[in-house]
Amino acid sequence: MAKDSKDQKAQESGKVSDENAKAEKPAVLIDPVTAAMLELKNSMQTIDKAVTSKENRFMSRVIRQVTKLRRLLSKKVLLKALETYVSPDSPVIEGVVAFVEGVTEDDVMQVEAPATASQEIEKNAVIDKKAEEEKNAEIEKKEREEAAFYKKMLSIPEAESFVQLLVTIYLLDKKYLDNAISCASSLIQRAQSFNRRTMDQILSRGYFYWARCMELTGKSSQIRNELLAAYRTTALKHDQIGQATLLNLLLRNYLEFNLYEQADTLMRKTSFPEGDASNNQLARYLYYTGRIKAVQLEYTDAFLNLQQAARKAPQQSALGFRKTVYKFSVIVQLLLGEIPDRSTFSQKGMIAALKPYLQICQAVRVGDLGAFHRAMQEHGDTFKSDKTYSLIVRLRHNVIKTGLKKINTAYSNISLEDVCAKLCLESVEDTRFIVAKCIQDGVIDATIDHETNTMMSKANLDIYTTSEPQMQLHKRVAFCLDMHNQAVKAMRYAENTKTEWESAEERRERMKQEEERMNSMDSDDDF
Amino acid sequence: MGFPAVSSGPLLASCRPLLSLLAENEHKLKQYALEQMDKIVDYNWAEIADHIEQIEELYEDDKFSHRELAALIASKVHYHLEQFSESLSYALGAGTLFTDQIASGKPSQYVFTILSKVIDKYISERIEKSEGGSDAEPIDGRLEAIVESMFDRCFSEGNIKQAVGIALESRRLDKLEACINVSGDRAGTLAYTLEACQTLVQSRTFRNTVLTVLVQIYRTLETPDYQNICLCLMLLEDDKAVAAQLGELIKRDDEESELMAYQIAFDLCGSDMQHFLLAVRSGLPVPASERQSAEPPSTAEGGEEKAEGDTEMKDAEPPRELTEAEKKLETRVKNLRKILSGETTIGIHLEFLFRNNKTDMLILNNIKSALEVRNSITHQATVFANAVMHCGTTVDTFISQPENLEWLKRASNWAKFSATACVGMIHKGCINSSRNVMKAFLPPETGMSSQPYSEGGALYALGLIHAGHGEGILKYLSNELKKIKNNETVQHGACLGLGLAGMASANDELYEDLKDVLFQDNAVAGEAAGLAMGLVMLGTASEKACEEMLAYAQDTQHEKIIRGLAIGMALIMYGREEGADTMIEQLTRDKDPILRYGGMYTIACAYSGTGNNSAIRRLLHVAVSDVSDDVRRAAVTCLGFVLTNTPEQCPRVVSLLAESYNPHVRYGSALACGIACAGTGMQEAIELLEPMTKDSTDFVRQGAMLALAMVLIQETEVRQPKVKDFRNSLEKMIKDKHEDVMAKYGAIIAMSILDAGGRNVTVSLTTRLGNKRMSGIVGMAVFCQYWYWFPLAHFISLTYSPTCLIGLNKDLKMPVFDFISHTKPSTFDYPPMTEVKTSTAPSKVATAILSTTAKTEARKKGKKDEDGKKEEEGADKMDVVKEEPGKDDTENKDANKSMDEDKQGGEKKKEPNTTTLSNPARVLPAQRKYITMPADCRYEPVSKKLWGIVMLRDLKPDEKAEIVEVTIPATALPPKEEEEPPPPEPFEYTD
Repeated sequence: MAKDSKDQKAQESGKVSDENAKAEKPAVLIDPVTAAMLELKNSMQTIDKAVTSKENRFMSRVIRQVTKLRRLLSKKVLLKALETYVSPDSPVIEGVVAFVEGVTEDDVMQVEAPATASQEIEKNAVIDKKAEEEKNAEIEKKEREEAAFYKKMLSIPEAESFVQLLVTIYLLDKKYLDNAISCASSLIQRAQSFNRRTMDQILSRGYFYWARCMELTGKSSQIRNELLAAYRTTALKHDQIGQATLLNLLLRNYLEFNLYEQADTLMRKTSFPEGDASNNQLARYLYYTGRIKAVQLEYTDAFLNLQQAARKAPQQSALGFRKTVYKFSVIVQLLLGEIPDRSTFSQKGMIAALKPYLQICQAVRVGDLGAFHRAMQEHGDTFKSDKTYSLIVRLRHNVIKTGLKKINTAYSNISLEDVCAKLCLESVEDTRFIVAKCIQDGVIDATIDHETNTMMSKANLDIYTTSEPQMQLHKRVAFCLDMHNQAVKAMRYAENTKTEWESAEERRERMKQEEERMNSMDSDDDF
Repeated sequence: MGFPAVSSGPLLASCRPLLSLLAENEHKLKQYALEQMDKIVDYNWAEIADHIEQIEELYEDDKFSHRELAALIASKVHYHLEQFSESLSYALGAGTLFTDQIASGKPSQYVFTILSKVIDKYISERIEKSEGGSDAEPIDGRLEAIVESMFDRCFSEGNIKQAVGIALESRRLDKLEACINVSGDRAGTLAYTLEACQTLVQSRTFRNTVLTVLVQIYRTLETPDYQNICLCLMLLEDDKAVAAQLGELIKRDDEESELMAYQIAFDLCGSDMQHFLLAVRSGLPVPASERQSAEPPSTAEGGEEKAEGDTEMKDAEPPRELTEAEKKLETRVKNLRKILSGETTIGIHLEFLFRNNKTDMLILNNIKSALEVRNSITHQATVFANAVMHCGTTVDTFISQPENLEWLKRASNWAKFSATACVGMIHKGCINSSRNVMKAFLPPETGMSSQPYSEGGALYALGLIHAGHGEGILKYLSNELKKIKNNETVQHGACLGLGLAGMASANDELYEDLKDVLFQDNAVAGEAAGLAMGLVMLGTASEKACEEMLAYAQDTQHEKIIRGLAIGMALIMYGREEGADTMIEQLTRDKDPILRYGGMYTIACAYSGTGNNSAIRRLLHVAVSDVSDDVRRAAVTCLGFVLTNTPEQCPRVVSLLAESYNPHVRYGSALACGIACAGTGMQEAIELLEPMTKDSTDFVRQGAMLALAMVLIQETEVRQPKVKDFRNSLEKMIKDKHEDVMAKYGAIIAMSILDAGGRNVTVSLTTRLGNKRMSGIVGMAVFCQYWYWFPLAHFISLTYSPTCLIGLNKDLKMPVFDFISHTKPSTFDYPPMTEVKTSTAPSKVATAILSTTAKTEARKKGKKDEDGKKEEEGADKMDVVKEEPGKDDTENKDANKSMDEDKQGGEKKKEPNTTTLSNPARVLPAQRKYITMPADCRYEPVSKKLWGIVMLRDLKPDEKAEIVEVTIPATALPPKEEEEPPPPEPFEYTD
């Protein structure tokens, strides 16, 4: 749909140059409140459909639409939404209204109408010209239908909870964190009391924002137990989406306090529900597990997970998430003894963020311990705040190893003093031990002549006589096969879909939905 | 960074210190560790899980004093790890620590989960124990104790239904009794139990035990529920008890019990179990007059029936010198016998179907004119369609029209056989005049048969007329069978007729006669004989019969005979459930595909209407694995039979098979859907079947159309708009020159099924009380064999049951009064008659003069005139009272009126929200729930269920009751002027 609108805009802008008369058109600015309400109504209709058909996929669609709605939220919109969609008898409404009214908005932004809204308005305009009378009758009918719809929505608890969720997000955006917390917790309580499967997704989002607010107010240590209890409930109810969300929240919570071991035990004792959970949750899970494994010295697994996380993350948005993932992935790759691609650091929007890591990487690549130390000193604080510091410290050995390797290939015979100087090590004695260790580990093929204090390298092996190329090839083939399998898996149809007999209308609906999903993958700012 | 924050929190982030305490030697330390752990296990389970062995060891350690605590923690950890069976066993080990939590006010999620596992496990163990016999391990006492306490809680909290459910599932009869005794609403609980027992209990043996218990409880009620008692007894097939119960009821001197006895008798009769009903009848108390005459009761019965004349319903002459009470009793016994013999029901239904016949002759004429004359298959189908549309109405105007007579003559050979049998279908239920009706076709009394096909067909027709109520005709038929020696066609008809008439009679003589025919090893006759043997021994599971039949089937060379025997064996196993398993096993493992085919139908018959999971699994397995297409088709079709009691499941079960690459499987799934969802108009079924009517394979289209017609039978456009589309597409298909003949055959029959029995019957495989209807299921099973042998399609007439609501007073007569249906008249109205399409003349007059004058006229004037005409045509003039308009079917009247309004006003006036229906009324299955008695009605029904035949209590017995005039169809009357003796006893055939 967004694509459509882009096309349309493109067309329209084309027309602008041609015809002056239509110049005003693309700039159709409608009242932001109306635009938001239209968008909200759209979501509500989907909720209605989800509730009547008891299909969770419609609910996922609603949740995806939150992103779009979030930008349109304002005090007015929310008050109106509360009025239209929340029954006045609801026990929560008073509190929620109070929260919204407590917000002071500085400016009223003029929002460009979203595609649907402007289209609809255009449509109305066309009708305008065509036949006034017809339109009147139609409007009347429409109004009647609408009244019935609003009335129906009042009785659907999902609608109420959805509005409450929007309020929570709004409060979070406006930094009214305490209010947001109480709003979210009342949402959670209320949603739980219904015990409806269509409520699960709203509930899981509720938990997500609640945990986020608690984290921002520095209260995350208090919520762990509640999250654990909620996780158990979702697992018992086979609510996979909730399970995925809560598992991620738990892992995040543990990692925040550096409780890697607990996080690891939890991770090993649970399994991530891959069936229904969204891609974004999966990406997040992969990222957390990658971090945990990196700390636990399982670099290969960690690297795989982080790489997949980067790949699963939305490619257009979620820049922050991808940055973080790449930071870790670079370090883990270095720890594995590999040098990341140069292109990793020159990705759009990431150059500045990854610059410290580039320096580290260069130091490791050439085995320049001095450069490494300089980089560490220069960017230590950044690393600490990125929580990569402890991993980077481990890299020192790698730097030394690479340095030694270089020396080994360059010199057939070199004194340990020289080695010490080249590697900027502290003493010759240290150097001796380090070199000995490297020989022992098979990093270099050399011997130490203790009498002359020299390191003598043996003839360098031709790597193509070893099984190394085979190993490399295997690794790449395995990677390709894995990628293929994943792609095939992703293409599987959901169960119970009968594409054969769907009517034209259903097909349109499905196409629309799929396209929307594609778009939302791009514009998801969950991260 | 982490630790300060954590230590300020209420709980530890890590329980490693506690875990290390477990390694200590001191018990106190361990105990302390466990106590602390118990508090935090919900949050730190992941860590504790790494040390679960230590905790488990502590539980095993006899010396440790807090073993139960260890077990509780272990259980909780396993619960968090989602290993519920381990969790369960440790929870049991925790003893009171766990059980106390159940009793506490608000049990946690953990307790809830484990409790449900406890119950699940208990149920599965109980079932294993009851089925495995003595070698099964005894059930864990702790498990039992928890379940007991659950029962107690249910009782104290009043959750009786839950308790009943658990008691039934865990097969605890003592608890079941306790449930019912404890509950405040005993009748309600009993009803719930009875329903649950019939629908949910899978094991037949256990179900029977429950039923026995229920009967006992029903008897102890303050006002015993005789209806349910007898229903249970019928399900148990305990004829003596039923007879005693009925006897007791009629001996009481109040009208209430008498009516109740009649109502029960009608309900029993609806189940069609002939041998059971026979046994009940002979178990009834013998009236004084018969004792005086000292005749054996059976002949007295026959004579009595003969004397009474069928539907006249005259009370028997009071015998001399009997007391008032004895006379009363005698009348009652006679009435009861008559009801149990099915005579009354048949008579009433016949009357109903004749009176309300709304067949649209134009449809038939359209079919006839649309088809090519020479094609014998479509010709045969059209003749058959006529029979289906008029099934049981006795209206044979279509075939008696002169221009049609000529057309009919085109049927030759087996088509003639089939056409003659169709006459039997039309006259289904005319049991007192059957031979008169078929007179023209029956074999001559002396001399050689000259017309073997029509004679065979006539004998078959006699069977169809008498299906399941063959006392009057059996002797004649078996004599005929013996008489024919060398003509396989006549033998074929005679065998089928005999099988139908003697259905479920378990009559050994008949069986032997049929066996003789079988042993002649003649393919055509043998096939019918095999089938008939099954029909006669229907549902008896007679070992002797099974063995003989199986042995012969494996011996003979004729495929036809094997097929007949295979279906016969399936029928013998009808309703035996687990009792048929050996037979099923034997047949399904046979190397002959035809016997495996029979095996599938054995499953269908044995498990029909049970929804038994293992049966379904078995069928599904065969449906995808057998090498023979026939067997696979049968397996899928049979799913429909097993699921008849839960039609809503069927479309889901067969939906995948409906997309199979194999057309036979697709055909089977269509039919299965049609069988299970017959008469329901279910949306899912329609959605599944509709695309299949456009399948690329001709016979799949055929099956889909038949099935869709069965699903949509009697559906009105108001309720299901698809009906119209379906009718149109059928019409198009029939007219389409290029349509394949098989599909056309299906379309023609589907068209007739939609309007079957004068639009007053539905395909029903269940009885009024909701249990399975024997003749319906058997009829459907044999109907499915039309695939091999078209004349077997006639069996579909057995599945039809009139959709009526008929009230009877204690004299078994229909009083005049009204029911109220809380629906708009159009919702359940007859579909409109098709109009003759005329391009030029819009006026009615023009239509009337057009080609099909006679019928159109008849249609326009309504059926009164038709009656009159028929009377004139008939040999003897009946003294028919012209019906008053008030007595006419009001529903019909309303419809006419509204149609008129449509025409006049152009705009529809608002329809009334209720419809008044006068006795006897057409009430569709979906309409039943809207029916009530009017508030100020003179009569009051004895049964709560308002459909079928309902006995009425007269609240003003002193006033003279107005009785609905009986307009018995002429042909259904026994011949009077004829010098020929009346049918039942005339042919004392002696060699």
